Order: sequence, then structure tokens, then C-alpha cells
Amino acid sequence: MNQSGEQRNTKLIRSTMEVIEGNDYLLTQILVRLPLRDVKTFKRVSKRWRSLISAPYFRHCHTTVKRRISCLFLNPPVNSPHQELNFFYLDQKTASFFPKILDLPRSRISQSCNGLMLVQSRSDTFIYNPTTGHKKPLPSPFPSFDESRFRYYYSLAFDPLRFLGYKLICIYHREYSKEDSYRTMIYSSESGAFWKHCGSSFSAPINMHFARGVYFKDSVYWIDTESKTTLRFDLNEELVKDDMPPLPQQHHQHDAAGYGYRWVLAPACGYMNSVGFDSKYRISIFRLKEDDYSSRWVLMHSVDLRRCINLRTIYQIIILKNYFNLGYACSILHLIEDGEDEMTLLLQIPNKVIALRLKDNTCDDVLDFTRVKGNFLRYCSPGFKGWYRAFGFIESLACV
Amino acid sequence: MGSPLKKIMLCSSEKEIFSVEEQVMVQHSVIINNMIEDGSYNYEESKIPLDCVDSKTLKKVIDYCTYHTHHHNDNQEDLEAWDAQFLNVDSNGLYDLLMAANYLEIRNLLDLIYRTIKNMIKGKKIDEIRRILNIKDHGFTPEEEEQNRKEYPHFY
Repeated sequence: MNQSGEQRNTKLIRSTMEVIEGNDYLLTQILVRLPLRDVKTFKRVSKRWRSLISAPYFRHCHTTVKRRISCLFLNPPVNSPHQELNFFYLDQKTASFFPKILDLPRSRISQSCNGLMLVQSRSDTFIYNPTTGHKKPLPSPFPSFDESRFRYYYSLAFDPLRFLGYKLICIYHREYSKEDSYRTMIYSSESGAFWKHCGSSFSAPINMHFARGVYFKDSVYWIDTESKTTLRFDLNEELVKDDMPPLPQQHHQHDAAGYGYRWVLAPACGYMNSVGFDSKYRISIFRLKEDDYSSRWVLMHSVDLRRCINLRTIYQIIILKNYFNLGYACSILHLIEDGEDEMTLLLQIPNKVIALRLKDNTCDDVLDFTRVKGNFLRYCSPGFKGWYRAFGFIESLACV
Repeated sequence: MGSPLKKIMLCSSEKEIFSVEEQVMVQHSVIINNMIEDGSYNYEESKIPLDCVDSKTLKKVIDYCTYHTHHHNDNQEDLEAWDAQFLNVDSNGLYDLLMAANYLEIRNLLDLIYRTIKNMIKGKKIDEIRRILNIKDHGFTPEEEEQNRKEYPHFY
């Protein structure tokens, strides 16, 4: 809202506010839209405000207000000696959220979903809420004597607008087994503390990235960037489905596919999207459009990194990297929603994270590793020490 | 979803009839969308009675829905400027608008009004909030209030 408009309205709104202040429902609707920092302060406005804010109804309403990602957590690469979690704001000006950083050595985020996170430490996996700082270790799906015989991966589904509590999905298979059959278990925080088997066993492409689930509309999705296939776990039917259209093929084959995150799934603007390198310099963004009978990937944007003026430097680095045969100098971190139906692509380039607005192909630096003095971040440049992963975060009062 | 040219009739508390493009209301009002979808609206005869929405407010609501239907591709800044201008109504009007948006379940409009009010109190100190909202009785005992002020002076 522009400043003059806001000022003009100020006086008028004050008297309306008095009426609204007298109405518990309306006042709650206003308060849940405030940053939690303010909410904490406003508990001391009056006893009535304090009781409204402390009520379970407030927590419930808070989770039903749509929020945009304003800050992201950054995970260093697996092979980095520094495994701490760190975070940055998309826009420093709107920085109002100060997450509680999980006090666990060598912990790593494996998924972020509507305010809750799945965090892996050396020995355990946790559900973690960075807003409240609460964490809870996942119950093990296997008897302890049996655990080592399996390889298993967890995914998280948390969507307060669609179902109560959170759900966890465990995909596992027998280690050293000749069969490539996977099985599924599901856990629901609402229905009690045990895992239950669901669906039948299924086979999956060898590089299916089960450790990196992405939740969207009652399903958790996984992708195999080599074979360009996706699988999803349908939470309503409680089984793994292979009904997604194949990801669009690249126009050009390119080598060194192992470098960086080259193809990611990201829900934004009410759709599932996929972002990937089409060729060395071109990133394409596809959107999954569905109707009653079929679904297909529709090309939304195609960005030539060389055309983005601010990215000229990358282009030079890419040439350099190629010269030394070090692969690519750019990794896709995330795709997020930044306004009404607009998307922003977050890319990691040497020493920086940049935000590329797809609406007009303009770029901004959002994080400069070289300025983060005394921090581990500065040691990591892509290609060399590996790639970061980013996890969008929104405030939530949800219980773990 | 109806065809863009179809019209529906809305009837205000003063029994004044407003004819609106169906698409405009269906897109914005959950209630009207449900009525059209379940077939309870008859295009020949029915008008939708809105007994708790007066003509002045209903006209504003229709303006809002119409503008946002036809300008949803505009850039964000222009839309926000229009919204600010739109909300420049007298204080009773704003409350009526809020009630109408609530009744018709026009989520964008509700959210706009809530957000506007939220922006009024965002980042404010407790004393300012009490003044803006004219809260005379905060309900804390003098001891509690003093304790809070001592403990969190930056909040006040």
C-alpha cells in the first residue's frame, strides 16, 4: 500500500478499529496477520488481548493465514566440514522473523514444509519448528535390532489448511538386497504414536531422490534428475503412485550431470513447478497443469543466463570453470512465490546467492558469502566444495 | 463456472436490485459461487437477497469485484494504489464493507481490510496501541502493569 493512501485512511480506520477491538473474532483475524514479534509484545496490551492470543483458536487461525516465504535456511553441502544451519532474508527490509537455530551439532535440514522442518542430526531425525524452537525426535519405524538391515528415508507432510497435525512417510528397502523393491510406512501425529505399513511394494529408478521429498497438495513428490521421472505418495490413498507425466526432455544433452542441483521440484503460485537446466546456460521452468483426465508440464519461463545483464560475470566464470573442467558454476537453490502469481528463482553462483525475478528477468544479490566474515559460508563456493540447498520458511505456531 | 456474459441479480437491504456479471461475483464470493454451482440460482427469476448489506456498501463491493476481475493482470503497485483509494471511505463504511465481505466470503477483500488494519498497528508500542484503539481498561492490576513495564520497557 502506498504511503499517502495509508495516511489518508488512518483517521477513518481508527474509529473502525474501536468497533473491531470489541469483537473477539475480528480482533483475532487482525492479530494473526501480525509478525509474531508484535504478537508477543501485544500480549501486554490488555488482559483480553492476552487471553485471545493465548487461546488455541489463535494458534488455529494463525496457521490458516497464507504467508509468503520471506526467509530461507541454507544447508551447506554434505561434504562440507561445516554442517550448521544458517538462514538469510530475501529482503532485509522486511526482516521481522528471528528463527531459533537448532542447537544440535552437525544437523541438516532435509525438508521444510509450511513452517515445520525435518532435521537430521548424526544419530536422529527430528521434527523442528524454528519459530517456537520446539523439536521432537521421530519415533523409529523399526525395532532397534532390525534397523541396520534397512536403508530408509523420511518425508514430511504438514498442511494445516488441508489436514490436522503432520504426517511422516518412511520409504525403505532392505540393504544389500538384490530386489529393488521399496516399501512404505506412514505416521500421523494426530492418530497416535506408531507407524503403519501402507500400499504395496514398488520399484523405483535407482537415483530416485527419496531423501529430498517435496510436499504439495496432499502428496509428497520425489524426483530422479537422471531419468527425469517423478514419483508421488498420495496421502489420501496412502500409496505411492507413478502417474506423473515425464519431465520435458532437454533440448541438448550435456555432460557432468553430477554437478550441483540441476533439476528441482518447487510448489509455487498454487501449482507444482519444476526448474532445471535445459542447456548449459538456459534454465526452464515448467508448471504441472492438471485437468480431469490428464496432467502435463507446461513451459512457463525459459531464461538464458547470458541474457541477464547482471549475470554476465557468471558467464565468464562458467567459461573459466569449463576451462578447468570443473563443471557448472551455478546451482538452482529454490523457486519461490514472490507476489500475485509471480515467481523468483534463487541461484547459487560463486560467492553469492542471487534472486532472479522471472517476471522481468532482473537479478538481485540476496546473500554475499564474501561479506559473511568469520563465517563458514565464505569458504564454500559452488563446484569446488559442493552445493548448498535452500529451504523456504514461514512463521508457524504449530506443535511438533 | 458460468459464461462471462451471464448476469445475476443482487438485492440490497433497501430492496434495490443490482445486475452484475456472473463471472465477477463467482470469482470473488464463495457464497455466490456455491449458489451458482449447486444450481439454486434461477437465471430467469431469482435475485440473491442480501438483507444485511445496504445499497451503498453493495455498490462498493461490486466495484471491488469488477475491478479486480478485469485488472488482475495489472502490476502489483497499480492494484495496491487502487485498493488504497478504494478503502478511502468513511469509518462506518469500512466497517460495513468488512461485514459485507465477511457475509459474502470475499476473501481478497476481507484480507485487504484485515491487512490495512494490521498495518495500522504493526510495530507499534503498547501505549500507542491503547491510544489508537481507545483502550481505557487494560484489565491488569497496577502491580502487574508496573511489573510488565519494568520488565519490558521497550514494549511501551
